[in-house]
Amino acid sequence: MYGLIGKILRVNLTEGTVAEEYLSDVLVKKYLGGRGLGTKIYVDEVDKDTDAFAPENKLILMTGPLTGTFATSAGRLMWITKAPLTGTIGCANSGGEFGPELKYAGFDGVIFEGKSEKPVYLYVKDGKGELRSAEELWGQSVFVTTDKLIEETDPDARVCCIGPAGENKVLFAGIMNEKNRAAGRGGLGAVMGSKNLKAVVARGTGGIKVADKEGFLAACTDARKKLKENPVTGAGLGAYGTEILVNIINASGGLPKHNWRDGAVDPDADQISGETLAEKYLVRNKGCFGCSMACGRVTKIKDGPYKSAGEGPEYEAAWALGSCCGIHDLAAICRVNFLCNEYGMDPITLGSTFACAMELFDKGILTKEEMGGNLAFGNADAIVEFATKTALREGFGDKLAEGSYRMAESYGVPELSMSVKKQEMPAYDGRSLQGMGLEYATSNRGGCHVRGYLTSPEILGIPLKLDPLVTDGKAEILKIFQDLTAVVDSIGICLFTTFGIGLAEIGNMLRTATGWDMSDEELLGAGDRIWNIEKLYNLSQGFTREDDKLPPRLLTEPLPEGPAKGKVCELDVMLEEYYRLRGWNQKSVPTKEKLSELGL
Amino acid sequence: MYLPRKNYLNWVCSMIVRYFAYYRKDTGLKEEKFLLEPLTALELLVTLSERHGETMRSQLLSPDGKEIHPDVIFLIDGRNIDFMNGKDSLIQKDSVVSLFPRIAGG
Repeated sequence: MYGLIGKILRVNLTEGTVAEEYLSDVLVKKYLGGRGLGTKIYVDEVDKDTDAFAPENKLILMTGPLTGTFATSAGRLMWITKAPLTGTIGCANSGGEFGPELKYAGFDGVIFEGKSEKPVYLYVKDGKGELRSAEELWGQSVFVTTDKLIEETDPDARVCCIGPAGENKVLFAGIMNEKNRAAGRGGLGAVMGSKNLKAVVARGTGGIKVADKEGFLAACTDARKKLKENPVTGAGLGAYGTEILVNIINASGGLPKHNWRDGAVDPDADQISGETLAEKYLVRNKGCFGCSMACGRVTKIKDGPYKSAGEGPEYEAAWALGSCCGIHDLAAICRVNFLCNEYGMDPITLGSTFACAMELFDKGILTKEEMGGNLAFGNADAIVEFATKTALREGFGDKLAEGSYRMAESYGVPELSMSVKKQEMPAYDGRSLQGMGLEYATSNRGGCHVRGYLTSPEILGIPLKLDPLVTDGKAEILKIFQDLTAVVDSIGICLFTTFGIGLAEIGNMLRTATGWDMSDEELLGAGDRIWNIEKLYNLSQGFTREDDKLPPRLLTEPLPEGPAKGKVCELDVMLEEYYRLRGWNQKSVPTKEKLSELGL
Repeated sequence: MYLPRKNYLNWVCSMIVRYFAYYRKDTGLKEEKFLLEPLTALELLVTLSERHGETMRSQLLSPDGKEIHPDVIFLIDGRNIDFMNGKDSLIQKDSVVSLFPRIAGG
């Protein structure tokens, strides 16, 4: 097998066994790797009635055929399981260095099944995997765990692990690698915690074979050259990181404030922007494996009450902890972001859940006494305090740890949760970016921006320009974006490459690496297939058209100001066209003809 | 400041021009307030190029100065001029112009 190693590990945590298995060429080509292959294995092996935290549930780690190769930005890995936050298919990806290291150690992925009696970690080194005790690591932060495991195994090892949030089954706990890279969304870290699996450590000295070495090098060189020459991927992302979006989204009237209640133009947004981060707190930028874009932020708060150092925040985290909460103290936002990395917790859902609690407090539904604190709009100290309480499930933090939907529902006002399928929407108002509204409603993992990032054409003009205020044509472009994203997530490269290269360049790298005789159209078709197996899983979990919806606020409360003043998200119009283009009926179920076309 | 221009209606309008990302570094400014006769998007960029020099000119305009550089994202009161009248979009009284280089994130 080229590109992929062709082998995975199956780890039975109940029995304490580790076994090797070979991957099927046919299955890999059909589902590509990463997200596609992992999801296919998951839906085939796990009974649909399995609870996310049941021992019978499985947690799958999978890389792609380009992961760890010379392909550009090829450091991605994917975690797949049932997401405890949403109940949908859960898949979350991460960059860094871990995915490549796992392949150099001889394996494309790992299937974890069962539940260990005591905390353990998996150590994979040069063709062998073994389970080791992690009892002394339980309760430790991501940073401490990572340092100790490197000390215990190999100085060049890479570590994936959970922090206290995952151990405490916080429903939006992430799985971290190299301390600050996160498979953040959906609560997959809580599934890892439910299995008493603290970490996976990899160290390898092997290599990866490609089918056409010269052709592959040429394809990669071409892609790298295009990324370097592109103003966004060659300079902008490295200089300012994703946080650069704060001002342009705000200027376009799409930066929701105060739990999406008070419009989407924040007059103080510049205080939390990428420009301000670069001016005040940026130490340097940082890249993942094989990436020339280097959008990561190494940041430091040198003094004051939030004195600390770490990485981030990304744009969506800065928004969730910032404008969404009415907070414009970037030092406090950085501090909470660092805490999220230490505890292993998704800052988007955390910030949005804080904002929901703040609105409940504002409305008199929640009291200071019940919260044991003062989660009020604009209170920066409170988000620092409650980040820790949430990760540790202390006091009111126990309720926050359930996410905004369950929290708001417990007070009889689920409509105040700004979520789709119980996962919080990030940072782009669907009333001023109509296509993003459709994207949230149809995302297979709930409210999420990276399943079909229509902000790119609607605001950034990449790779085409679409008017954010109109609905026409959005469904068609969204379907293409969703399918292409499924491809990118499956082959192991970063989605940000698509700001500078397209399907042609990606296809050339993949074909020369794997030897697959696959046209660009067939490749996109594989993305369509992956999207549909995720959809079929969600249907099996009882999700229907009724769940492809947005919070009522976006459908009935017009924006009060800005370029989208008076607008709500016109979801229904776009949704009908979307289903038709997908080959689904109006109940959002794939037709027999569509499934036959996809070979499902 | 007041920057008189010829061949326009004999009244002035105030406007704010906001700079982002690299443009802040290259102008040394976050924003400027102007009193100008009404003008188009292209005319504003010509004016700003004259004011801020070659580095900004090369980023804002095509080499012949007749087109807006394709990497400029030009918003008037939050609306992208690509969805208005392009380079001929008229900047109205009390408008806020936001200028971004081509950027991305997510």
